[in-house]
This record gives sequence, structure tokens and C-alpha cells, in this order.
Amino acid sequence: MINECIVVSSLSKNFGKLPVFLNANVSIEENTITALSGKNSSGKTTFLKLVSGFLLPCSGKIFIYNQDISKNRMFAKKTVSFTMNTDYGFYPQLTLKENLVFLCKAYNKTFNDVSPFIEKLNLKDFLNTPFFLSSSGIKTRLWLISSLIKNPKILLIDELTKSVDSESKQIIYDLIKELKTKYKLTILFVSHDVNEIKSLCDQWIKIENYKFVKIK
Amino acid sequence: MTKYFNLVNSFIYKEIKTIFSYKFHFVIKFLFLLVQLIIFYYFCSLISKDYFKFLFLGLLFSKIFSHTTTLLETIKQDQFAQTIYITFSFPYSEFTILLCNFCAKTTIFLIELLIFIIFSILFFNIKLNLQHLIFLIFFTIYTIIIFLWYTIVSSSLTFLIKKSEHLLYLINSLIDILSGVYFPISVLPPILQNISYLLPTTYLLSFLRNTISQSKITYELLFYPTIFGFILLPISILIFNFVLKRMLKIGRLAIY
Repeated sequence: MINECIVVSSLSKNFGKLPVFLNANVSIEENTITALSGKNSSGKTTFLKLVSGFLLPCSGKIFIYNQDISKNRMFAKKTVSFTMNTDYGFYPQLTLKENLVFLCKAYNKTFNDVSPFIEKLNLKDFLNTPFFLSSSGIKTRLWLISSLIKNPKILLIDELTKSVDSESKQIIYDLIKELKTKYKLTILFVSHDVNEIKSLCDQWIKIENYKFVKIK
Repeated sequence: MTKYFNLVNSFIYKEIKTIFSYKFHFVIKFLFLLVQLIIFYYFCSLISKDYFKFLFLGLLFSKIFSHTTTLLETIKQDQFAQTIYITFSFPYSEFTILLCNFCAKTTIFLIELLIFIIFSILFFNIKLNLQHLIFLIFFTIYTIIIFLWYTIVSSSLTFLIKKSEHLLYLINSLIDILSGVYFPISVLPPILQNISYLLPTTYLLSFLRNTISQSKITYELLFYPTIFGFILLPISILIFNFVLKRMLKIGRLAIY
């Protein structure tokens, strides 16, 4: 039996007069890796923000495990993690470790809980580096680790491997696969890299003309 | 309850780490405090011997009152650094997250306030005993609770009107003058005196001065600000929720 964990129904979103989605529908199955692609400004990041509850739709509904997240944003906060593609997002003067300790305390976790991911993503040597001095690749890995602290059921990733070297890319791919198989996570990631999409995902969705199109 | 305590604790941890990562700012902040006191002390000595005692309590109250808008800076910095995405991802309502952040900032503020008082006792001939210090801690917490509605409204304003901090600084400065921080309200023109009597801050400051300077506890002065605060609190929460929903609709929650 297929369980759909994200269901988008008649979604419309616009910023002023600029439309992003018009009556769009899509569903994403549980425990799959889904790629999301589309032209620049097609609405990929906007969609991730809508699913994570950082944006509200103009009309239509987004269901996560049958919960309408416009009405129950807390459910989205508890189940969804958003790994952003940005050089910001953490306290710049604090070290990577201090940023992680802060998040662990807020989520009632200990630093030891994230240690396995730190080992896996080779971040141990950079823990005492202030965030603002870290390279984009290191920041990306920190984003990924921080997203896992809350034990999400759904992980949203925005162009994760854009700034990382090929060796680190492989490590991240391996972790994403492990998150699916071992931790039973549903992963939705934005990517422009066709090879990355083909090698990693079970499902491929494109955004075209303000709607979702299933490719695979 | 423990989970909220942990959230406050996490923000205290972040605040302390941030303070010590900006060591120069930390030192300058206390130097500024000292210089400010020296300047006021000098000018007060030109007017009368007791004037500094009057002004000191006014400045203390002004510090407490301006702390109620401290979330404005926090939100601004979180929007700049985009850290709002990590803090607002915590599994609590945005209101709870901001409130816990405010509790953490208030804890740090109480320490800063205590340093301010100790400076004044040591170098500026301010006479306060232990009873006064305990009273001041309770008074500070009370004032912050009474003006929680102002904290919430100023936070909402920061989300709604970008770069609104100067408007709030202006309002705070006017409130300082009209409440009698720098000079008694009796020296103000009659029309401004009428406005003064409408402000809850005027009564709180009078209560503070009566208690510390005259050892006279005038509880009746607390009635108006307390009623004022408790009426405006639910209204401010409604405003905050409205503004939050609006920001989530137009996608400007994290943009400064």
C-alpha cells in the first residue's frame, strides 16, 4: 500500500502580481527520495517554504500526513526539516559546535546525539571554526546536520550539493540514502543536476507553467 | 514546563556565547555606561546635590522600560543573519519562541542592571541597601511583565514595518521625557502634564521614586499601569498573530 505523506491540492501562490503556482497538484510518497527541478524562479524554494510552513498558500491546501498545515503549522514544525541553500542561517560569531549545541539544547537533545552525523560528514575538524569563517561546503554540511537534530519525518533540501566538492558530494549522497533506508525519512530535494537526480531519486517532479509535472 | 525552560536555557547559552565573541563591544558597553553616569553626575552637581539621586532612579527606570523593546534588535539581527529560519523551526509557536528568547535576554539584562547599580553605588554616591536591591529586582520583573504588551507590539511592528526601530526609539525617548525620567513632570507645560498622567510609566516611576527615596510604598500607583497592561496584553497577542499570518502570506517573515 502506498502512503502519501505530502499531498498538494489546488495550490495557488503568488507574490503580488507574480504568480508562482496556479491550481497545482502533486503528491509525494512516504519513504522516498524525490527530486524537484525547474527553471530559475519557477518556485522550487517557495514550494519548500510552503511545505515547511514558512509560507502560507493563497489558496489550496498542503497536507502532511493528512494534516492541513495551513491550519496546523505546528505539525509541519514537528515533522519537517528544511535544509537551506544559503551562506547564512547560523550565528556568525559562534563556532559550528556552539551553533549545534544551541540547537541541541533547544530541541532537548545532547551534542552526542548529532556526533554520528558529524563523523559521517567529516565536520569534526571544523567544529571550533566560527560560522562566518567557514566555507560554503562546510556551511552546507552544518545545515544538513542541524536539520537532523529534531528527528524529522520529512527532510527538505534546497540545492545541497551546489557548493561542495565531488568527494563531499558522494558522502552527502550516501548519507541521504542512509536517511531513507535506516531512518525511514522522506526526502524532497531541489536540484538542477540531472545525473544527481537520476542516481539518487525514486521520483522526479518538475515545476512548469506554475504546475507540477511528474517526470519519473 | 521543562521543555520551555530548556528553550530559555538554549537562548541564554547563545546570548552568553555571543557576548563573549564580541569582547570589544562588551567592554565598550560598560565604558559607555560609566561615561553616561559621569556626564549626568557632573550636570546634576551643577543643579543641586540631590538631583543625581532623582535622575539615577529615572535612568534606571528608562533602562528597564527600553528593555521591553529589546526583541526588536533580536528580530532584526535574526532577519539579517537568516537565523530566524532555525529559531522559528523549533516545535513551538513563534510567540512562544520569541517569549523564551525574551526571558533569556531579560536574565542577561538583570545582570547588566545590577552592574549599573553597583557602578552607581561605588562611584556616584548612590545609597542603596540590600532591601532596595531586592525591591529593584522585583520591580524590574514586574515592570517587564506589565509592559509585555509593548514588547509584543514592538515585535509585531518590526515584522510589519521594516526599519521601524527609529520610530520606537522616538516613542521611547518621548515616554522618558513625559514620564519624568530627567526632570519632574511638574516643570512640563500643562498640556504635556495631562499627557504624562495618561502614561502608565509615569505612575510606575513615581512608585519607584517613592519607595527608594522616601521609603514610602504607594501601592495605589500600581493600579492604573497593571490594569492598562492586562487589558492590552490580549490585544497585543491578537495583533502579533495577525501580523505573523500576514508575513507568512506575503513571504516577508525573514526579510529585513
